Order: sequence, then structure tokens, then C-alpha cells
Amino acid sequence: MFPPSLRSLIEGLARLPGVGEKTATRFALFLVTAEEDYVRLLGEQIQGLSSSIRPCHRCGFLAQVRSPDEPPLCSICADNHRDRSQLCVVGRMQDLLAIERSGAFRGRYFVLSKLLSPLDGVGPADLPLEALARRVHEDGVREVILATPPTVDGEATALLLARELRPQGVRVSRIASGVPHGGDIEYADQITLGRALEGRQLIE
Amino acid sequence: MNHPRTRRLKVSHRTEALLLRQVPYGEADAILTLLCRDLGKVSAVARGVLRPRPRATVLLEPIHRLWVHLDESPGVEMMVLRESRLEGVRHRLVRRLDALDAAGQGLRWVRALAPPRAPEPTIWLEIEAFLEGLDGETPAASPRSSLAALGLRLLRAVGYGFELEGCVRCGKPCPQEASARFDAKQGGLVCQACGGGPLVLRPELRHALVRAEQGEDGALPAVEAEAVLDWVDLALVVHLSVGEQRA
Repeated sequence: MFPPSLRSLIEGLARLPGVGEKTATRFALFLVTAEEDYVRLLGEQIQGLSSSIRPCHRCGFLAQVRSPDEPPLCSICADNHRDRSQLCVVGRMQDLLAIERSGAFRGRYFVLSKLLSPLDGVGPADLPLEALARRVHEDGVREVILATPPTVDGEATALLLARELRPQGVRVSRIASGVPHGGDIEYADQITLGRALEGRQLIE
Repeated sequence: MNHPRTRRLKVSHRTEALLLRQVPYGEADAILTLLCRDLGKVSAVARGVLRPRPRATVLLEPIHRLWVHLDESPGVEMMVLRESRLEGVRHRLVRRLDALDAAGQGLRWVRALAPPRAPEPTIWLEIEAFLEGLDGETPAASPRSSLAALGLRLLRAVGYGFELEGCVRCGKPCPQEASARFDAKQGGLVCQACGGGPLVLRPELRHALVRAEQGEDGALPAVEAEAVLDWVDLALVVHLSVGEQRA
């Protein structure tokens, strides 16, 4: 029904997360009828992404490439007002963004991009342990906060990182886990409730 | 042609299970391999399980024992996961890296050895006992020793167990107190007349292997565990590659 180039665009858009064929068709039809300047600019922005955005060489988060000779540095690592002594280790960029949104942390990050997986045979050699150890050493980090997800893979990764980092004389902590704010205790699973009780705090 | 009155209906299964594998499928779905207490190893699709959500309605975690609700449609290979929750939580196991590593290897072996869609009560009991043992307050053996013993028992459960009483080729019995030649690739002891094996098994180790295979936790000395793990892996490579060729 559609011309081949439009059909191809719809197929491309439908590969985006959360976008099905129907939505992709709406996007494509919108672009066909939108102002030419807008469509050209959008096209240029998408085209330039792979060359202008690279993982930060220090933490693995997204960074703008300023020049080909300069290693990419993200805005968080470049911010001198942030606390260099605290390093928060996360599994994925999305987790970094969630912690940033909380506004509760003013240190810096390290994105692993992969978790240990006993079931899939993903072992220590698959994780960027050397880069993390180097980062801890070079930045004079005093505390590493392990914010890997509360899953078997996340826990395994946290245990491994704690074992690897402690000999460097750094304090290693794990984010607490427990009942979510606004949640029902009745519907919490056994692991969450068990951890919530273990991590209970005195009310002063 | 099926008459509407005799057409097979969808069957629901509610059973305990262990997660053996989870492979992302599309944006939010996953293809699961589960070892179910009542069904054996099955594949199932879990819809929407990878979608980020504030609270998990379907809890899928390896290592812990799950309770699952699966729907099976006639003529469809893949079941559909309707519901899943944690049934037996192994708090201590998931806090020990060596135990986690051993548990992961044990589950990978089960995934490789369990036949599809065939209830395997022995495999279920063995892996459950192994995981419970790793979760124990004072485990009887190191995780690697327990894993080696599990490997021997799993091989036995599926008919690939090592022959430790006599020659695997000619059947000649081996005296109880004698050392014996052993070849994991051939599946056990190999007498001199049949060419012998590359390793010499001392009688104590041979007896320890038999006791471990029979379920005695801690029978395998920790120093021997790594060698036994290698033998189990070798046996798996031999048997599974033969199986693949046959298939």
C-alpha cells in the first residue's frame, strides 16, 4: 500500500522500543507531512548520534564527543562539584538515571553494562573489574556504593565486586532493599520482606 | 478432523519449578526453560516479563524454588507462563559467591541433561537437595565438592553414571582394595586388558566417588573435587555430543 521508502521507514521505526507497527505508521505519516526543516534536522541528529555520542571513558555513561583526539567525558564525570570520594556502581545506564532523579546522591558513577550470571555462565572475566579498580585508585575513592539490582544476578555481582574492591582499602556498601514507599506489605515477596526486616532501623 | 466436542482443551499446570534459562524475546517477553517438579524440563513464554514495572507481578528468579502456573495448548510446543511466585527462598545461598557459582553450574548441568517434557523426579530431588544443601547454615561440604557429587548423581540419574565397580568395556570386576585405571571419556574404569585409562584411581577415591554418587554429602575430599568436576564435564561432552549426532 505504501511506497517502498515509506514502508522501509515504518519498519525501521517499528524496531524502536515501545513502538509497534501502528505507532510506527503514525510517526512515518507525520514525518511525511511535517515541515521540511524539522524532518531534515531530525534526520541529521539521528545520523550524527553514532559519531557524536560515545560511552564516557571513565564511567561508561553517555558522553558527547568533543574532538576525535579527546576521550569522551560525560557531564557527571566532568562536574568538579561532585564528590569524588563516593562512587556508585550500577548495572545499567537506566539505573544511573533513576538514582540521579532521586537527587539523593552527589558522588560519581561507574556503569558495569553487564552483571554476573551464574545461570548463563557470565563470569568475573566478563565484567570490567580492572577498569573499576583503576577508577577507584585514580580518583581516591573512599566508598563504593553497589547499586546493582536486587536479583540473583545483581546480588552475585555485588558479592564479587565487594570481594575484589575490599583489598584496595575502600569501604564497600550495598544499597538497602525493602518495602517500596506506598507499597503494601501484604503483597511484598519473601525476599523483600526478609531484607526489610534484616535492615530495620531504630527510631530515635 | 476434530469434532468440537472431542477437541482437546487447553490444560493448566500448577507446579513447583526451577528457572534454568531466561532468554529475552522481543521487547518485553522472555522464553523460559523451567525444570518443573511434575512436568520435567519445559519451555514457556513469559509475556511482558521484561517490561519495567514498579512492582513485579511475575517473579522469576533462578536458584530459588518457584511456584508456576503454566498453560499448555494442544499441538503447541511452548507453554505460556500465567503466574509465578517465589515458593522456597534461599537467603543464605544467594549471599555466598562460591555457592552461587556452584548453583549456577548445577542448574546448567540440569538444563543440558534433563530430557524435554518428561517428568524426572530423581533430577528434581537431586538439584533441590543440592540447592538446599548450599543454603544450609553449616553445609556438610564445600560448594565445589557438593557440585562434583551432584554431577556424579545427575550422570547416574540419566544413565550416564561412571562404572566404578568393574571395567566399562569388558565388565571384569575390579577388586575392592585395588587401584584402577579410569577414563572419564569412556565412562569409568578400564582394565589393562582393554587398554587401561589415563588416570589411576586409588581405592579410597574410588570408594569416595561411590559414596558421593549414592548421596553421602561430604564424601568427596575437597582436594579431589576439581578433578571430579573435570570428569563430569568430559562425560557430558562425550554423551551430549553423541546425543546431538543421534538427533
